[in-house]
Amino acid sequence: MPIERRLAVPRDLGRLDVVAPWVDAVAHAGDWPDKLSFAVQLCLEEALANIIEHDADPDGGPIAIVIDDSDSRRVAVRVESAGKPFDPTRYPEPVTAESLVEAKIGGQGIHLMRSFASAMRYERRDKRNSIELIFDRIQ
Amino acid sequence: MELAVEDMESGVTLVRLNGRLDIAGASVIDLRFSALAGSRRSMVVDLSEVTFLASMGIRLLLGSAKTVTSKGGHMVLMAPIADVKNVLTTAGIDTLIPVYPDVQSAVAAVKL
Repeated sequence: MPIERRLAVPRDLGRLDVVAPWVDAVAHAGDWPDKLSFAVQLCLEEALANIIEHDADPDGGPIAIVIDDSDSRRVAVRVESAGKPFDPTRYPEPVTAESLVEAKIGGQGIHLMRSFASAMRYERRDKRNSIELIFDRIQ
Repeated sequence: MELAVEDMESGVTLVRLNGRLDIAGASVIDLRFSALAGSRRSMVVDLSEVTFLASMGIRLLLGSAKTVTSKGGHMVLMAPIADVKNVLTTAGIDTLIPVYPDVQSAVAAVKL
């Protein structure tokens, strides 16, 4: 049976545990390298966590994830959500702490997305946020 | 996510984590791990069985290391797999919390 490349998840941090097994299944079906699956799972977790923390309104509706791995060179992952504008590409890089005492907790998620995805794009259309993450198959 | 604690004769507490240190995993161990950090002065966190690490897990590790250090203690990480080590390095955590390859070197680093 073909694996569905689209998943809708509730706007609830406590209910995101369905995402990793789904990505695993898509990765297995598409014969992805393990590193690629890890990077997609990491970036998706960070994207979803940021969207939910940025706009936790449950009336915002579910968040849609679409994976397109039809291209042999790259995998595209699109995360779409209604609600307040949220453009992760405009967030500044976190300040590097010199010591544990100075280190601030949090703020690493978007940095990890930038680092583990090959490219990240944002589009706002019809009051919806669309974040596209591109992953080269050879990393 | 599973957490096991071994208080060693050397006075070092070895915390073994097993599973995914993501949003779900971090929430499962958060209270217990934070309580350990609040009550121990020498902690080695064995990451060898941690298969995934995301920013929620990083928050937990960083917050606990800050707690241990604020009491004059030491916390180090041990034996992460390559993907997890890559996350630690990318986030700059390995420059804040030392990472050791094995239990001997990790215990030696935190022994009071």
